[in-house]
Amino acid sequence: MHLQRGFIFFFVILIAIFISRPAEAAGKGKIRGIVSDSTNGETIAFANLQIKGTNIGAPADNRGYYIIPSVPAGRQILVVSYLGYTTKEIPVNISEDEIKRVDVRLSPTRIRLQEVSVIGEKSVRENEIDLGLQKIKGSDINLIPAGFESDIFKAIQNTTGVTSTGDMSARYFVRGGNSNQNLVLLDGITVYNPFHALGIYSVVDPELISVLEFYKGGFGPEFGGRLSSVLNIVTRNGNVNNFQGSATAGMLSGKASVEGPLPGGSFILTGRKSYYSKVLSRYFNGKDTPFDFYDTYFKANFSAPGLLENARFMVHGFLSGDFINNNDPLIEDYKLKNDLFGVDWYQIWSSPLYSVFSVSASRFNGQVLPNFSQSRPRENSITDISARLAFTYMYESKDQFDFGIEQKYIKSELSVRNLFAQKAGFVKDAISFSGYGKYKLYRYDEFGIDLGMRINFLSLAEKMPLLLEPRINFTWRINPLLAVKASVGRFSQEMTTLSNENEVVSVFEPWTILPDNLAASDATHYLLGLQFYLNENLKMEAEGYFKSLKFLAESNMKKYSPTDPDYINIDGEAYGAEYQLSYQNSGFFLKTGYSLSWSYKILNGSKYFPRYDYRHAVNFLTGFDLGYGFSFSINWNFNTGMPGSTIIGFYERVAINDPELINISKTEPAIIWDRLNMKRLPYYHRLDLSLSKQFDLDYANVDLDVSIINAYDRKNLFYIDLKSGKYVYMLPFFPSVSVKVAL
Amino acid sequence: MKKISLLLLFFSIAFSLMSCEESFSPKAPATDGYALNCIVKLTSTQMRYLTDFEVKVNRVYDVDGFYPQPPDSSTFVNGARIIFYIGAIAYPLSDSVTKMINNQLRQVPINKYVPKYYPSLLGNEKCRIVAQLPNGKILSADAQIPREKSFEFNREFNHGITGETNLLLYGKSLVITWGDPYNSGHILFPKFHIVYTIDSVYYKKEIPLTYINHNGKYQALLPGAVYVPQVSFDYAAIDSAMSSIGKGMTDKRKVVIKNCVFSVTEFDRNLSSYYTSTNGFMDSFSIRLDENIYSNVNGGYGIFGAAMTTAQSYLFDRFYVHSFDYSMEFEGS
Repeated sequence: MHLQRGFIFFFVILIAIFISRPAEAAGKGKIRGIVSDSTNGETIAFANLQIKGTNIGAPADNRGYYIIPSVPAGRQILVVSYLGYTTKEIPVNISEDEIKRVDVRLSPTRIRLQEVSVIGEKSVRENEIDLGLQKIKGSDINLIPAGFESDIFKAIQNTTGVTSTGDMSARYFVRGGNSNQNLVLLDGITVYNPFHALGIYSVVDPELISVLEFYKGGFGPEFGGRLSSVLNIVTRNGNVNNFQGSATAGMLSGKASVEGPLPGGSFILTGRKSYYSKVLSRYFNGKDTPFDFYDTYFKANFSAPGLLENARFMVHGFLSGDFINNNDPLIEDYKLKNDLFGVDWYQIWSSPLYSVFSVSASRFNGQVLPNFSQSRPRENSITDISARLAFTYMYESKDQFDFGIEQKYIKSELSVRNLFAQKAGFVKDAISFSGYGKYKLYRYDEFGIDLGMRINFLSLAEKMPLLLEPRINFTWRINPLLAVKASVGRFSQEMTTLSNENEVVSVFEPWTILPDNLAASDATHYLLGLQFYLNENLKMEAEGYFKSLKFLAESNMKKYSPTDPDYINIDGEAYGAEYQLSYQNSGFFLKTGYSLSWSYKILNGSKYFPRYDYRHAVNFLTGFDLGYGFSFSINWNFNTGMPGSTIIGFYERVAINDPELINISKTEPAIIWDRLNMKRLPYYHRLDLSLSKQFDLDYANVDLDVSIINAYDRKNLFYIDLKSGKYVYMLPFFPSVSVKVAL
Repeated sequence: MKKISLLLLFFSIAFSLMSCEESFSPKAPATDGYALNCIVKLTSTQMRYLTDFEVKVNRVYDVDGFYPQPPDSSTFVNGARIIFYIGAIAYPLSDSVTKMINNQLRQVPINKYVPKYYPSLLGNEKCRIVAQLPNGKILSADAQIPREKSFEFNREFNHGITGETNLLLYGKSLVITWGDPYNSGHILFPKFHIVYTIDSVYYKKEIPLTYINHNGKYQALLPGAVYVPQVSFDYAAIDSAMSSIGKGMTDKRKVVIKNCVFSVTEFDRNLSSYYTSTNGFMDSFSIRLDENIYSNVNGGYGIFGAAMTTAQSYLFDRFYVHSFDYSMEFEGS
C-alpha cells in the first residue's frame, strides 16, 4: 500500500513538472507516413528517420508508422535508414503547422547477413525507452541453427534472462517467472497454447513474422494480464507488388505460403503440416510420439481512400491443431486447438493522432481422450473476445501520449474426471475492463521518461487484482556513448495454467481464470540498466532486476483428497544481472550474453528453487557471410545446472493392492526425498552449427540449410527415470536439412 | 595448412572433452529415520475384535544406486514400546516373529508387533498409536474408524416403469446405494461377488460394472475406487458373470448359487490420502520427477490408518438363476 501511494505521489509531481513547460510550436510542421520495403511493400518496423543536419527525428513503430514533430518549415531533407537497406534521402517541403504525409520505400541491400541479429542499429531517438526490450526481426530467426524447425521461442531463449528446462521444450521462463506468466500476442490477439508437438516449438511459423517485440520486464501499461514478459508478434502483410509463393521441406514438417497484391492492399496465406515424428520418440518416456499438427494463417489488408482517407483495415486469422493419435486403445489421445480471428482498423487522423481499433476472438480447446488407459478424460476451453481501442497523440514538443481502453470477455471451462471417475469441472466467465495512459516525455534530447498507469475497472478473478498498476520507465543519456535506464512497475495476473512444475514433460496444461479461493497474482518489477554504444556497430548492455511476486497460483503438492484445493497462493522473488554484447558489421554479427540470476518460491515458510532457476547462463551467437551465397552461424549455450531433488534414503511402505486384503507385511520400497530442489543437475552446454546456401535461379530462389544440433554430442541430463534407473539426456548430435523454394 | 590442422586438432580434442557426461547422482548421504506402519481393519462380520492387528516399525535404509529396492537385511526395530489407544484404553504391544512364505517359496521370518490381547472397537471410534523406540525416539499417529454401512438395492429401468416382474431380465441396472452421509475425503471400494458351489466346493465370481467393447472383444470393467455412496451394475454384466460360471459344463445344475455378497471397504481419511498418493496415475507422456507419499506419522514416515468393510447378502430371483440351468440353495426365495 505504501508502494502504491509512493507511485501516485511520484506521478503527480512529475506530471506537474512536465506540463509546466510550454511547447515551442511556432514555425514548425510535422512529417508522418509509413516506411516499407520497395521490393514487396512490407512495412519496415523501427526504421530511423531524421531531418538532415539536425537532431530532429523519430523511429518508426512496429507497423512502420512514424511521425516527426517540430520540423522547421521550409525545404528539408528526410534521411531514412535501416539495417539491411540502402539509406534514402527525400527532399520535403513543409509549411508551418502542416502535417505532411511522406511514405518511404527502402531498397534492400544484397548482403544477407547485414540483416542479422537483434535490430540493434542505434535509434535516432537518443532518449529511447527500451529497457528490457528485445526487437527481433523475423528473418533473424532463420539464421539461428534450426534443429528440427526454426522457431521463435528458440530465438527468445537465446536472449539473456530467458531459460528453458530442456531442449525438447519451447516453454520459456523469463527472469525467474513461470512460463504461464508470459503473454504471447499474435497481431494483438492472445495465443493461449503457443506450442506445437508437446511443447517442442511454437505454433507461429517464423517466416510469417515481420518483427518480434519481446519485453523481459517493465513493459508498458498497454499490456496487461501477465506478470513476467510480453512477446508481441507482428506478422507480415504480404507482397503488394507481385504474387509470390514458397514451399519449404524440413525434418518434421512441410510448409507453403502464397502472397500477393489486392486492390488497395495485399494478402498472405501460409500453412504448415507435420509429417514425421519418430525422431522424437526417445524424449517422451521412451514412447512413440504419434503427434500430428498443422497451422494456417491468413491476413488481408486494404485501404479504401474513397471511403475513409488514411485508414487501413486488416482481417487476419490463425488456426492451429495438435493431435496425438495412438492406435493403442490403452494409451490416451490428445487434441489441442487454437482458433484466432481479428479485425483491425488503423487510422491516421488529421491531427497528429493515430489510432488502432481491434476486435478479436481467441479460442483454445484442449482434450485428453483416455480411451481405455489409466488417464482421466479432461477438457479445457478458453474463449476470449476482446475489443481494444488505442490512440497515440504526438505533441509538438516531441512528447507523446498513448492511451486506450480494453475490454475482454473470457470464459474458461475445465472438465475433468478425477482418480475416482467422478466428473468435476470449473466454469467461469467474466468481463474485464481496463484503461491505460502513458505519457512519453521525449522533449529533452538526453532524457526520456514514460509515465504509465493501467487501471483495472473490472476484473476476471473473484479476488480482484490491483486496481492501479503504475509503470514508470526512465532513460538518461549521459553522453552519446552511455545511457542509464531504469524502470519500475506493478503487474497483475488473473489466469493461470493448471500445471505441475515437477512434470518435466507435461502435455496438457489447461488455462483457467483463477479459482475463487485464490487471490490474483501480482508482481513488482525494478529494473536498472546501462547501455554503451562503443561505436555504431558495437553495443554493450547491462541490466539488473528485482521482482517481487505475490499470490502466485501454485499446484498443491499435498492434495490428497478431493476437498483439498488444487492450487494455493504462494510468494516468490527473483533477481539478477545480465550483460549483453552485440556487434554487427557487413557480413558478420555477434551477440553474446551472460546472466547471473536467483529465483525462489516460498512454500509453507520455506524457500525453494523452481526448476527453471539457473545461476549462470551464457549465450553466444555469431554469423558470417562467406560469400557466393553461403552463410554460416554458430550458437553456443551454457547453463549451470537446474535444481533437482535428492534421495536421502528409502523405507518400506505398505503396498495396497487389494483394499480388502491389506497386509502391512507386504511392502514396497519407497524413496525419501530431501527438501525440494536442493541439488543441482550437471552443467548444460550445447553447440549448434548451421550452413546456408542461397541459389538465385531464373525462376526461383532456393535456400538450402544444413544444421547440426549438439555438434559435440554433449550428454545433457534431462531427467533420471527412477523406475528404470535410466539417465535420459536431451538432444544428441542431430543433423538436419531443410530446403525452401520461393517462386 | 599446418595452422588449420592444429586448429582442427584443438577443436577435436575440445569437442571430445566437452561431450563427456559428468557423473551425477541424485543421492545424498542417507538420513536417520523410522517408519511406522499400522492399518486397523474391521469387517461388519467380525466386529469389535481386532484379531489381525499388527504394527511394524522399520529403520530408514540405503541401497546402492537410486532405484528403490528392498533392503539387504532386516530393518525391523526390536524393543520398541508400543501402545495402541482406543479412547483412554491402552493396549500394549510386543514384538513377535512369524514365518511367511516369500516369492522363492521359502519361509522367512517376519517381525511385527502384536497386541497382548485383542483390542475391541466399533465404527467411528478414535484411536491412537504411540511408539517409543529403544533410542528414545517417539513416533505417534491418530486415526478414526469409518462407520458401518447399510445398503439399498434399487433397480433402474431402460424405459420408465415396466410391468414385467423379472427385473433382472427387463431392467437396465442394479443400483446400490448406502445411506451413510458423504464422508469427505474417504475412498470407498465396492465389490459384488456371486458365491456358488460346484460339488460342495465354494467359489466366488466378481461381477463387473459393465463390459466395454475393446477391438471387438468385450472387456470387463470392474468397480474401482469411488467417493460417492453409489454404484451401478449393468444387468447385462450380471448376466455375463452368471453365464460364465457354468460355461462348458454339461450338467449346469451342479452349480449351486448360494447368494451374492455386496461389500464396501471404506478407508479413513489418512488411509485414503495415503492410497491416493501411492496409487495415483499419470498421462502416458507426462513425466514427473518425484512423488509425495502421504504420512500421518509424527516424527517419522509410514501410515496409521483404518479400513472398514461392510458386507451384505443379496439374493437372486430363483427364476433368474434357473434361466441359466443353475440350482439355488434357497429354492423358495
